[in-house]
Amino acid sequence: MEIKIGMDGDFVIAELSGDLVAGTAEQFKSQMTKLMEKNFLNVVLELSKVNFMDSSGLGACMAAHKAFAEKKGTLVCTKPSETVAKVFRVTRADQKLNMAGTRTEAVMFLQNAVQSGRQS
Amino acid sequence: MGDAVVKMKIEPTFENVSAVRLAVQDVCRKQYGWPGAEPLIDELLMAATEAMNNAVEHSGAKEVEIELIAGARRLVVRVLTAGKRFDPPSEVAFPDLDGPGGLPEGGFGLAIIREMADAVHYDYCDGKNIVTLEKNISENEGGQDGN
Repeated sequence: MEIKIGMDGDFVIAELSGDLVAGTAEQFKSQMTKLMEKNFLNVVLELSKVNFMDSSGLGACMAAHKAFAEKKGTLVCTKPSETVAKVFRVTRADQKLNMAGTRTEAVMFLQNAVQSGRQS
Repeated sequence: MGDAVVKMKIEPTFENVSAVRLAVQDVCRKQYGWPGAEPLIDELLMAATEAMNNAVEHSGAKEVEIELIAGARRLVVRVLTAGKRFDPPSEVAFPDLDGPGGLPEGGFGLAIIREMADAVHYDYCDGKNIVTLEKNISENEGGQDGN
């Protein structure tokens, strides 16, 4: 699995490619932890190039979602491949994770979340 | 169309699970070349991956055997591990997404197996745990979402 990290304004774009599975989930968690340690707390997780995701990969996404939320940050998943979307759907994880159809929508989601945080 | 039968033995590592998944995918793509087969193959691969992950993580076996039978109307994957009886619960409670502990980070594997396979059987025979996953795969049903 490869994780490309980029920026869109103040937000991190983490683009995953390959398999998010039991053998690679720790690599993903470690990368998310590094972002949090550097105080990058608003992240778009782009999943269009993830070929396959198993329950460990799903668990890693859940863990990252919780970890960012606990630090008052936000993780938004976007553009899951059909295979990944199916895992989200059958486990109903798509009802709990922040999901956006496009990167632009994901960034808008983060902008709104940051705005709401400032107002609260 | 004749059945494609493949048997593999692996050391129980997650890397080997991925290698088996890709091998099974390759055989299935060659066997079921018609449009619409791919989502059904993917669903069986998801279930098989979870069964293999369980074997790697929980069986304690020194090797995991995998059998694939890609028939005209049914795709079958068996995962065999030697050792003491390990009977996965036939009725799996879905992880509670709204529980007091917050979002669960695990426990989805058996739920994925149940959702993605059309039938799941467990047997214990000759000292081996045998998990059998079946997926109906007919060209006439191609393109339909099995869920």
